[in-house]
Amino acid sequence: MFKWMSGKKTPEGEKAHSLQIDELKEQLKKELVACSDLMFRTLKRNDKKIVICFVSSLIDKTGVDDYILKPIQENTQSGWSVEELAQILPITDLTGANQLNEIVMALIDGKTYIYSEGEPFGFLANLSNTVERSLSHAETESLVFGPKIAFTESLLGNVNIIRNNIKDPNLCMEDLAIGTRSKTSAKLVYIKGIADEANINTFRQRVSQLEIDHVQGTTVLGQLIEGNSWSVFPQLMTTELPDRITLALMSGRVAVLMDRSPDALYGPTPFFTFFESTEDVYMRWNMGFFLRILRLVATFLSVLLTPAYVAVLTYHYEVIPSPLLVSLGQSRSNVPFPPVFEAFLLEFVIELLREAGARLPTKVGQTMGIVGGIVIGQAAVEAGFTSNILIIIIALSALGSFTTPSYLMGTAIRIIRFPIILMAGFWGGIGIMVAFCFFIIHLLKLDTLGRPYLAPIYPLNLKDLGYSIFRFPSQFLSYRPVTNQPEDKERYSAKKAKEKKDVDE
Amino acid sequence: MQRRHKWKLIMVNIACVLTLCSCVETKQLEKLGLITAQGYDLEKENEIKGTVVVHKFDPLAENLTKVITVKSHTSKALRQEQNLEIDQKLVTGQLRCVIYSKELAKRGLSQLVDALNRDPTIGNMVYLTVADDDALSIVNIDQSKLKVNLGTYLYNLIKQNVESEQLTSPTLHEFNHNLQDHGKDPVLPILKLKGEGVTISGIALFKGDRIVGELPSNKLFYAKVLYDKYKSGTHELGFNRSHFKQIIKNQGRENKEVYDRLFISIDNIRSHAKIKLIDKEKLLFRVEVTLDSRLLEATEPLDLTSTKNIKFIEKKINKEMESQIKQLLEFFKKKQVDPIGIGNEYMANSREKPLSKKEWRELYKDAKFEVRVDNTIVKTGVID
Amino acid sequence: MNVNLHPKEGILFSAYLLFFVIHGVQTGVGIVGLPRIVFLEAKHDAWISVLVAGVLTSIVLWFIITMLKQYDSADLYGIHVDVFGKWVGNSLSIIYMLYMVGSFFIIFMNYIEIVQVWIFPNLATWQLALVLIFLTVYAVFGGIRIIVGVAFLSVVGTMWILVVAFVPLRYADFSHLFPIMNIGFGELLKGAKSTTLSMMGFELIMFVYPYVREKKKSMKYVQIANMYTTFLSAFVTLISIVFFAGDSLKATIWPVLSMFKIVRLPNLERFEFIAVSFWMLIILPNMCLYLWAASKGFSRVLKRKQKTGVWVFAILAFGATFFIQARYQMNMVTDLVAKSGFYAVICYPVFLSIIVLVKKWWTKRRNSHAKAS
Repeated sequence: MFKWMSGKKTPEGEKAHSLQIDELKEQLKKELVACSDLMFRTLKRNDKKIVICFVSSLIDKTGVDDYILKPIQENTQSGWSVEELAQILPITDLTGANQLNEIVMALIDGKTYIYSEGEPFGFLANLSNTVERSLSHAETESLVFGPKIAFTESLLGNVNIIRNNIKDPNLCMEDLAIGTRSKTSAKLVYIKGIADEANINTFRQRVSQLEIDHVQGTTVLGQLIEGNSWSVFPQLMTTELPDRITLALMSGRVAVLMDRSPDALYGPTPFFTFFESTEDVYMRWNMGFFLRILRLVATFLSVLLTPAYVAVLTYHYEVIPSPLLVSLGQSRSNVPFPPVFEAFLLEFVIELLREAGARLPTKVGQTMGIVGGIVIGQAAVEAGFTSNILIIIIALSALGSFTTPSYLMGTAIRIIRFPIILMAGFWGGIGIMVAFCFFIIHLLKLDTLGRPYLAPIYPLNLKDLGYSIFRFPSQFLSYRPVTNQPEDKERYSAKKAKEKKDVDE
Repeated sequence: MQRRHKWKLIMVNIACVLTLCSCVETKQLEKLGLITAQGYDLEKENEIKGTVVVHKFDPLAENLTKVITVKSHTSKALRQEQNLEIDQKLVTGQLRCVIYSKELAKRGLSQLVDALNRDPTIGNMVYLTVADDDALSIVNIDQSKLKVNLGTYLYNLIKQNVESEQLTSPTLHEFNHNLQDHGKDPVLPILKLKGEGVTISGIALFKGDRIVGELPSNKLFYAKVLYDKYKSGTHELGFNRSHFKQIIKNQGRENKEVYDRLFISIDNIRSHAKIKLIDKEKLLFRVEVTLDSRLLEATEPLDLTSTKNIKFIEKKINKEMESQIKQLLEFFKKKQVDPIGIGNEYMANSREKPLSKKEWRELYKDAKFEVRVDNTIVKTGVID
Repeated sequence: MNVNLHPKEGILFSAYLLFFVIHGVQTGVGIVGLPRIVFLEAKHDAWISVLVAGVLTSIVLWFIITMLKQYDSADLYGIHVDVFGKWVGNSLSIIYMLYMVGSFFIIFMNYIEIVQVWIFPNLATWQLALVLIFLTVYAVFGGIRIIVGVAFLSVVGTMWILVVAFVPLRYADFSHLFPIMNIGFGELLKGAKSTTLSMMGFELIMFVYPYVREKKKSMKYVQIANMYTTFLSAFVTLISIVFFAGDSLKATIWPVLSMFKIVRLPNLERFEFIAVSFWMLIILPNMCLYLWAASKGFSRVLKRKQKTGVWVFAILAFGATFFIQARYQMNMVTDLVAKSGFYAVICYPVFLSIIVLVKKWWTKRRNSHAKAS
């Protein structure tokens, strides 16, 4: 059973702990600096001593009482040798150890060390108890339709959810440790046979080669391993929805789960992935189709409406048709600022409202919305600070940016509006176009896990359009998205699906 | 290396933004005086009088228009002069309508129209019109009753009539096109003061850029049929009552006759006019007009139940129309104008060197016409 | 220098993208003024002239592709060295590089001129030039894959303008087109020659060829691209002829933009303002590809980094903007490039491919002789 122990050379930096219990205590106290909740419980019988060490805050005390102390105390027949202890302790997760380092790490992890004096090694029993939030609704990606369950901070729990979602023996979970100092445990999740080997390797390589003391969570991990960290556009996606991850895994993507992080990171995620919601899939396909197009149009308008307003009112008054002319000019006529400044002012107010609303508790947040939206909006127009048409436009573009399912992408879209407004203020339509061209080139230059960011538009993949920009009914989607280069390309046999029945057959 | 590069890009970015700061001249909408209509009159030799209707934006006034009149030699110099009289910068980007006085139009419009063409801010869909008297009086009508500014008002007046098939579209583009085309001449509507408003009294026929004749509004229908080729509006035809004796319904009581003539009003659903060069030597053109029309109104109760009767009416209408169209063509020929584009038709069918405008006019004198109208009454309304 | 160029597998692009590259680089500022230029020569048969030009370029393209097929994966720089030796070949390459920088220059300068005439009369040339050059450099630094992407998005993103081009047909007078083929064959060819400025661009196939993944298919896509460009140019010319009266078409410098003047939407009038802005997206791939191909010479011919080449040419082009002040100077430079383009794009590639074919045939014969003996 513990064959590996015998004859094992002790490498440098690793040493077995002392066989004397008192010395062991001292050693542990020295290693775990100023650890006031390190506790020892010593039992004695016939001159034989046994010690149970644990960090009291991390363990389940009743578990220690019931499964360690009770069996040892009650069982008077057998001795306290390692073999005998292994027989009497009713614990599943029980491993032998005698390396000081290992034991210290295990104690921090919430394990309990049981050592019987004089024996060559002791036991690490897992009776840890981590404080966890129970499963709850998704907060950042709220849904009307579909499963409501969200990831929590517990890696084990998250793995549990995914395993339950995909009962496929090929579902792989590779262990990773992230952070040179914190050593947060993480899992690389993919389905062998579907996910492309190259994607898995890139992901694994980027994560494991990361040399940083501590990573604060998957969102930070995403920022650290993406290709271009200067860009405002997120290149890897995080989500708190297990079903989203399930969909991604089934279409050949690779995910990383991290302990203490309620989001999963996955990739490759091209630009248009950020505009997909799981709701599109749960809806009937035509509704999904409509919603997806709606979201893209909303995004486009959100980026372009305010700059267009600025450009037209500053330079291109010729393009306004006469019915609109009067109302536009009328509302502009009592504004003392140039249109750029006006637009910036109002965009700034909207951003303030959004930020303040996010920072405040929900109840106050609602009041904030009313105060901001109605009072400031109305008063600003009355006071001649802005034109009421701009208020409508700004509100529309703010709404448009909130339709993006990914919070990160929504923020990115709100931010890129500012330079475009600025350019529109400088050069009108030409300025908008300069900014537009810049963003096109920029998006083309980005990559997600080494794959093109604008896929499936460029490189064009007509088959995948049904997955990303549009949503086709599933009888047309017999294949997995080609952009992810899945190894198993088919979801179901297209040939079989195409067999048609004759009338009355 | 990578890092250094990023810095370089950022530097370039900053440089760009800095250079952009010396930005271009702005034209903020509310600071502009938008010229929506222009009127030109001939003041005396070498001098024109320009009047503009300026739309301004003011937080207090709903619809603020100002009329400025100055005199100068060129239209752009007029604008300089006008600019001195207003607190906002005058721009022409929203120009909707230009009015030339008849006096001016008789001397030729090409210089003034050229100025419109050269200016990139002026659109191609500006309406050109001729004032029956002087442009100033039209521009100066009492605007307090108008809901919109005068330029928009005139624009809507013409647009509405063009869309309801009363008038041929007199846009700057079409004027240019017909002016430059060797085998076609432009026409423009004539505006006339009527009471407190403005009315369209007919169309002005141009020979080159000079006005040479007028077509009254009741003849517009036939011009439209020939000119627009696809659709034309409602028209009223008068007939001798006695010719229709056989199909007038006698409902048992003697109708008191209101008119001693019979009038029939028809509405065109589809029309198609084709001008064909039949004989090149003799310059014989055949004008074929096919119409699908609706009978809207007749001043007598007509018996429309039998096919024979309808055919009879059709025939009568055909004949009437043929003679009217023929008259119109002869009238054009006499005036030496070619608004229908007969010259274009001729040139498209001759493989010789394209003719100049002058050469075509020489030929046009000898042109002969043959008119065929094929009118079908497809509907007679909800009652027979 | 190696005659053949073997780029990494990762940056190769599919052959179908050649369609977008060639079409994207052919349509640029040239097409805006094309109808008028051809009309001046070929009168109302100008559209036939454009079709003739399309057929001629398609023949030239056949020559070029056949020449490229003689090599494994070579570009013009490699072929020059292979055919003429190091010194002559490289100096020819440098001349060609200069021609491409010239094209790059007139493309953005013409665009700036359009902007100045139509939208901002007092916009300083160098400002917009700086921004356009910066955009181009930014794209070129991304390498051929990005540039092809720009070409692709530019073509796809501006296709809707074609729909707008149908609007002027409402004001069309089709009698202008008749009598068809009434003009001498000489004028027709002259008209075809004057299309050079808007047809050129396809010569860049000689530089992007090594980067095509399925080289066998390149002929097909290049020809389709050329056909499409020809069709588009002929269509635009046709519409201009029926839309304008002959004399006004002669006087209109940018007939395509003037036609857009009549387009109006319920919430937008004067479409040309949008078209002028949008044209930037159309010329972007042109600028990128010319700068890329010219700067490629830096690494191929002069053995320097391509990035150095990009900066050198960008600064050169930017410096040159200060020498152009008036419209007639611009016309002179444009004419110069268009004329040299005629030789560089039409005559020279045909001449070169004949030499290459003869040379291949010769070496093949000699080899078989050597084997036989």
